[in-house]
Amino acid sequence: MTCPVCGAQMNRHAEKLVHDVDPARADATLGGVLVEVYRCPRCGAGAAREVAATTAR
Amino acid sequence: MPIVPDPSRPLFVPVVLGTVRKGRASLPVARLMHAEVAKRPGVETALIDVAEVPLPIDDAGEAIKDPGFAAQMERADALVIVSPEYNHGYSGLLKHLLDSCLHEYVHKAVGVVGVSAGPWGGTRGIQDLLPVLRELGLVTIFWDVNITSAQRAFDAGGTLVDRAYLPRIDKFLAELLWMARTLRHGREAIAL
Repeated sequence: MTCPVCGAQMNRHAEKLVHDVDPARADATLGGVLVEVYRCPRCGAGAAREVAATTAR
Repeated sequence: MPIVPDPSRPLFVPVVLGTVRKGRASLPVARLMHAEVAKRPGVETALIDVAEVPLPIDDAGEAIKDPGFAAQMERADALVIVSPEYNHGYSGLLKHLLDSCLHEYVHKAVGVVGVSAGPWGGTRGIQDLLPVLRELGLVTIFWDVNITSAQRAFDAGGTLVDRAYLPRIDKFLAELLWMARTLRHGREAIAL
C-alpha cells in the first residue's frame, strides 16, 4: 500500500479479524472480516483495508 | 530500496482519562501522568478526557468513531490509560470510548494506571481491562501504577502528596517507552 500522506511504500505489519460485522460480509471460514494494517516507515502514518481471507497473503 | 524509519521522530504517548464521574479522583492522577510523560525527552503527549470526547450512547463500536479521537489513536505510539475501579470493574464509558476504534491501536503499547478509594489501587479493574486491550490489538506492558486511597494521594490543589509514587511511575514509563519504540520499529520496518 502507498502511504496516503507522503506516498512512501507502507509496511504491512498486521492482520486483524473483525467479528462485529454484518454476517453477510463475514468470511465463511474465519467468521469475520479480515483487515490488513499498514504503517509508513517515512512519516509514521497508518492505514488499513479490508481484504477477503482467501486473497490475504 | 526499503525506507529506514527515523528513530529520532518523537513518540506520541497520550494519557486517556477514563471516567466522567463528578468529583473524580482520577483527574489529578491523569494530570500527574501527563506531566510525567511530558518530561521525557523525545516524547509528545496529550491529555484525552473521555468526558470531552463527543460519543453518542445510542450506538457503539466503530460506528460512533470520533474523528479527533481516532486521529490521536492513529498518531499514538503508546497509551497511558488512567482507569478508576468502580464496583470491581473499569468504567463503562472508558470501554465505550476504546471500542470506537480498532485498527488504530494495532501493535501499539499500553500501560494502565489503576485508581481506587481503597487499598488495592484499581488492581481488579486493571485485570478485567487487560483482555479488552489485547483484543483491541494493543500490547500491554508488565508494569502498572496503582494509586491507592486516591482521595488522600493528592492535596486539595491536586498536588501529589505521597512522593513514593514517582519512582514507580518512572519504572512504568521507562518500560512503556521502550515498548513503544520497539513496536514502532516493528510496525514500520518488519513485515508480517
